Amino acid sequence: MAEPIKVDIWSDIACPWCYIGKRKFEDGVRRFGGDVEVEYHSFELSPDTPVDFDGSTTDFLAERKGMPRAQVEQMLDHVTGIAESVGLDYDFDAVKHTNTVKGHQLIHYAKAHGRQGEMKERLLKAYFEDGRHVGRIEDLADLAAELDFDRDDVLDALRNDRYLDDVHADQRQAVAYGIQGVPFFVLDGKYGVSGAQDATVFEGALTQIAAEQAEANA
Amino acid sequence: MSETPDQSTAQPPDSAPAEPVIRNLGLTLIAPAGETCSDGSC
Repeated sequence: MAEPIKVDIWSDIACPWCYIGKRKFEDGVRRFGGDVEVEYHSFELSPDTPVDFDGSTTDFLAERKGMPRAQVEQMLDHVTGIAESVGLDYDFDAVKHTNTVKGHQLIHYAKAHGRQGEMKERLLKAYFEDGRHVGRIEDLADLAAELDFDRDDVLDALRNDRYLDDVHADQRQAVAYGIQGVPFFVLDGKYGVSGAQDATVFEGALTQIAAEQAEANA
Repeated sequence: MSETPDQSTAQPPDSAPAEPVIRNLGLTLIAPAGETCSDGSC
């Protein structure tokens, strides 16, 4: 029986193309039909973002990054439209712009409990669709409790930065790979796919790797 | 453009020696880059 193809994905929570890319990748995996093992890795787009930023995503990008407001609004409208095309209901008016380092730690916490994918999906949905806060420890613990994690243990883990080393290790690996934007997919440890590509790109890459593995094992 | 830590200066917590990191791991890129987010731009 063929081994699953390992796919390592670097992404941030506050990254609209990452959620869109996740949906497209999942579609590509369905089309491929084989066994795929996914592991998510941390990437902070703006580690200087305060946890309690008082303003919208548009405010943040305009005020902190110096982008013209009209350009930001056009960019967010474009992304919202693409998200809708893959079944996601982005609501940038409700987004609570925040720092994501604690959220990344919670994803590592879930990974340690064998439920990383579930937590990754919950935090992306919480941020882009539900207008939930994914930066404050108490809010993250609430989200974890909704998935039946031990709320007190999550609070302890986040307050004590139990998984911060894992976040930093992911970030070092991203630097080593030369990753400058996310989402970024590393397939079978040797092929890179950058960005929210069409499902057919992922399907093709996985099919190619499966053929290579079959040939190597023949 | 992203703000990932500079590998040359990044240190694990508690001042432990940094783990060796292999640069330029030689990934073969499949397809031209798609749409991504980097620092402040999507």
